[in-house]
Amino acid sequence: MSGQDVELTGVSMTYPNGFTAVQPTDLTIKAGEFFSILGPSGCGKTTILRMISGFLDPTTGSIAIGGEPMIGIGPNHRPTALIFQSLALFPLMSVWENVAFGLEARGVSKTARRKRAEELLDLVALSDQEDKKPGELSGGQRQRVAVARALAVEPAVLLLDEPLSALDLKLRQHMRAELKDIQRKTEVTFIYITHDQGEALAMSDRVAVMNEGAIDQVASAEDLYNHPNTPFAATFVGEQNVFSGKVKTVANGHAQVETPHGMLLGMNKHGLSTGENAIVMVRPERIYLEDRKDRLGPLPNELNRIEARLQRRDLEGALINMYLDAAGHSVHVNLHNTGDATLGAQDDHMLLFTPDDTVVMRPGPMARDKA
Amino acid sequence: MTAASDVSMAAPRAAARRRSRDWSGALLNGYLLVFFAYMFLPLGFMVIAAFNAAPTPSATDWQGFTLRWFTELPQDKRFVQGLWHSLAIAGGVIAFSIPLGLSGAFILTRMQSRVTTVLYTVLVSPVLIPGIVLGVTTMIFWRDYFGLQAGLFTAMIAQTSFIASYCMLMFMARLQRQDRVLEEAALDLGATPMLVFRRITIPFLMPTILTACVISFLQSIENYNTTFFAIGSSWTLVTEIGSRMRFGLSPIINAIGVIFIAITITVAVTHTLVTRKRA
Amino acid sequence: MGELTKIYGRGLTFLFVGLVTIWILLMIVVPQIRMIERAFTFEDRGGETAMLALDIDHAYTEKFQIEQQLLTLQQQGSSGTKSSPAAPSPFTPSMTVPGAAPTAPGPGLAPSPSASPQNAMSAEERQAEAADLRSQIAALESRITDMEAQEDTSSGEAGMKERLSLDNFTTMSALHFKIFLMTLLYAFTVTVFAFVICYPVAYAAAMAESRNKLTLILIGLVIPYAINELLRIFSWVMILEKNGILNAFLDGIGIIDMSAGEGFRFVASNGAVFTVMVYAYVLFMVFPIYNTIDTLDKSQIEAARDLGASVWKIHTRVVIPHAKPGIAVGSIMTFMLSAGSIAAPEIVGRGMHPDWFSQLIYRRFFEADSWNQGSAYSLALLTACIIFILITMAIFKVGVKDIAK
Repeated sequence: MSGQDVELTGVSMTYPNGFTAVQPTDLTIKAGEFFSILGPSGCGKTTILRMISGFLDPTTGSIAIGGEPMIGIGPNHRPTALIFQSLALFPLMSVWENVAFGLEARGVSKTARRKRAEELLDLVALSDQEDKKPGELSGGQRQRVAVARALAVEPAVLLLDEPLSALDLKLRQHMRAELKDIQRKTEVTFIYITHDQGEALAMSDRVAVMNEGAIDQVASAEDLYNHPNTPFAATFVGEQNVFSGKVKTVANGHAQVETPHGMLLGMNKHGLSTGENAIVMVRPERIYLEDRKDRLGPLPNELNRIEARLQRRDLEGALINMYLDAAGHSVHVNLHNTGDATLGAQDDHMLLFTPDDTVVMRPGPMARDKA
Repeated sequence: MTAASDVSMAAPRAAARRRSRDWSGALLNGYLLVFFAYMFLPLGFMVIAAFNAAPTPSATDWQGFTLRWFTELPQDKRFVQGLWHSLAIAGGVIAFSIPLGLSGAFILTRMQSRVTTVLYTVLVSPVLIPGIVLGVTTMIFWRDYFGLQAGLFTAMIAQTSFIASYCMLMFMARLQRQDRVLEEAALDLGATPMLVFRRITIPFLMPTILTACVISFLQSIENYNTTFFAIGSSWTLVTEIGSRMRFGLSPIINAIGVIFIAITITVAVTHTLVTRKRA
Repeated sequence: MGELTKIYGRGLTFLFVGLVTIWILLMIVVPQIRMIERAFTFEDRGGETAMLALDIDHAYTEKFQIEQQLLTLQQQGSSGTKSSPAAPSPFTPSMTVPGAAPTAPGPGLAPSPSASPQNAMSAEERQAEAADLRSQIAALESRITDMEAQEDTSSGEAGMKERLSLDNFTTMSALHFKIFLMTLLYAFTVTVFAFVICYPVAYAAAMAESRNKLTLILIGLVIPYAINELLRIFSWVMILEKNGILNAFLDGIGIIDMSAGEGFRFVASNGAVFTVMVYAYVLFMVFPIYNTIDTLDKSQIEAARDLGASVWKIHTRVVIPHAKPGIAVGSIMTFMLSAGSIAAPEIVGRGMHPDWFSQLIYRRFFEADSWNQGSAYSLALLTACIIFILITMAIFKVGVKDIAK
């Protein structure tokens, strides 16, 4: 098995009722890549997946897989296999018949089918369950049957539509590793749809963040988290404290923004100029308490400072979550649990963060439940 | 009002409520008994008369036990011939109604368009209009357009026109519970539409298809109003029974009744027990 | 269509669409249209064309008679020339030359007196007569051709002029119209009775506390429901007969004396048909209502009861509003079956009681042989049922999709 690349050129989808699910999109997914599309529900990611698999025809644009144009080719003739959110195992067929169904469709003989099904079930560690019905299996086992069934047709591209969402947390983390492992072994191109940033970041070579039918940013997991390009990508992936204000001065790739909390200095990657409205963002784990500044190591010349009052302090295990109030604006801070029970326990705090950890952007749509 | 007085007030009220519930429950049970007596007594009289030697069917004028009416039954050529006609019609009805019902159900459940409401109304209309109108229109249509006189064929067509609607409703109910993703999954794995249909859709529908066959069969065999108009000078078991009833009562009819009732009870009880076990 | 081909492919989609098209055209729409067409086509049995048809028939008969006459004449003529060897005359035993005595009366050929004057005709007279007859035939033939040509431009079946009109409806007699209205009224009353009788049963079934009780109730409902309509009707005829069970019961309690020939003739009356119909169709009301009440969250009733609602209030405010679609379906089925029943009036009426509209329809078709008027009557019945369905849907605020489930 080996993967092929997928190329979307100007692809858009408008439903007959006038709703535009996907704005014109260009996207190239490389052969053998584990690629995730991450976005909130209703952002259009499933529509993209269904267009790649052939269940939907794009309103405009073209799709090519391995260089072959795919428009007009039905889902049963594309080199793709889809793993559905509900898994869609055939309830009336046994496990091995499920796995071998794609081969049956290709006219492979029954003995050859059975043999191949057994190999694949070995690959997903389900070798002794082949004669059971899907209904008799556990959630994780069903998951693996779905993967085996999809791989049986030796697809060049495997499409996964939130296949782990029905599993509990422990199993989900385990299956992440297993999927990643299978992808590495088979070198098939994986396109993985999810609204769970943890899944996307943990498994993917690259992640596309999608919002309201458009792709905001395509980047490696690291880049996406550390250098988000849009307010949405910044707030949807991980958490951000957001302050708004006006740009006061611009210098050396930095911008100074006047906010209700005073002047804040941050990276000006988008080239904002003086007088523009701006938002300033910093992640909770990049904020330090002044009384522990010795832990920062050598400090830069300028530090952003905000006075805040503790509202709530929750121990989460490895982290301590602090929710503070800075002049009516709530601020979230993560501290590493050092084992010191008094850490951050007092009422009044001075919060510090470096300009390099601070991002200045033009205001724009943000992820609703985060921010 | 204090909490204590609240409680002391509530207790007798609850008791009164319980009493009135017991009372209305007993009334309801009593009503059920009367209702079932109303349902079953007439049938009981009919069964008794089937074993009565009296030459006119009677449950009151007992002239001794006999099985004579049952043994006379197979010698009645018109009844036997009518039974064969009924079976032939029922076979045709099943052969037509199942494919028609399936086609209608597939189109209506799989197509999203404004036309489907109109289509649905047209396809269920035979269930809602009087059976004799169906018989009449079928008879007229086949004679006027194809020069075909009313007979077994037109009776079969007339029955099919509404039994197919019943089948369609059953298939639609089943298809609406189907996970559509299964068909998509099969297509995605490279199956041709034919294979999807054969391996996914039909197996899923199979229990309903069998039920639909049984129900179509019973509906066809038992139909009177539509068949009466559409069958012309031919006859089925039931239209023959009907015409015998019109010209006077004979215990042979009771004997047929007993056989019908026995079959019905067997099927009904089996069906209820089977569905109960499944539930 | 696109959705269908995507899942089932072109072949199967074509098959499905084809079958449904055949179903709609050959079994539903075109037959209905044909009935409507016939309903609005009046066969004029007393009008001008019917007269014309009658004239043509007369002309044919006349022509036939003249032809017969001509034939006889020719036979006579030939018998004058060729005497029949099968009829030897005792007076001319030696007659051996046929045709030698053309004027001689053939005694063997004078069996009837009517023939004798013709027999007296000379050959010339006969020929003149024959020529006259031939010209008469020719005249008749040309008249028939004329009339037939006239007829062909306007005729329908049996030579009766057909025209588009409402006459099939407007010529419905007052008696028939009254029967039509009474049938609808009776059907409506059957529906109301069925509801009143069935509602408590459906409610009891839906509220059954134990599975066993529910199973028992359901079996108790399914058995009579599944038993043939005719048998249910028949069982009641046995009860209502003059020497039936009801009279035997009345005899038993001393109200009448059957041995003295007393007894009520219950059958063959509208009341009897009505009673039997309630019995025969009552169960079509139970199941739809049961199905809807069954989906009602039982805690709603508990809550209403807890809030102090009376039994009446619980039903009018909670249960019946929820059961609306079921009541609508049950009412439509019961009404349609009662209004269109031919079994109950025919069997209970014992052929003596043509007071149900379905029987009139039957008679129009099979006794009066007036299919167009029969179609008009059927259409009237169909329209009444459709109006009932629409009114029911409006009252209970349900759509077509809720009805047929």
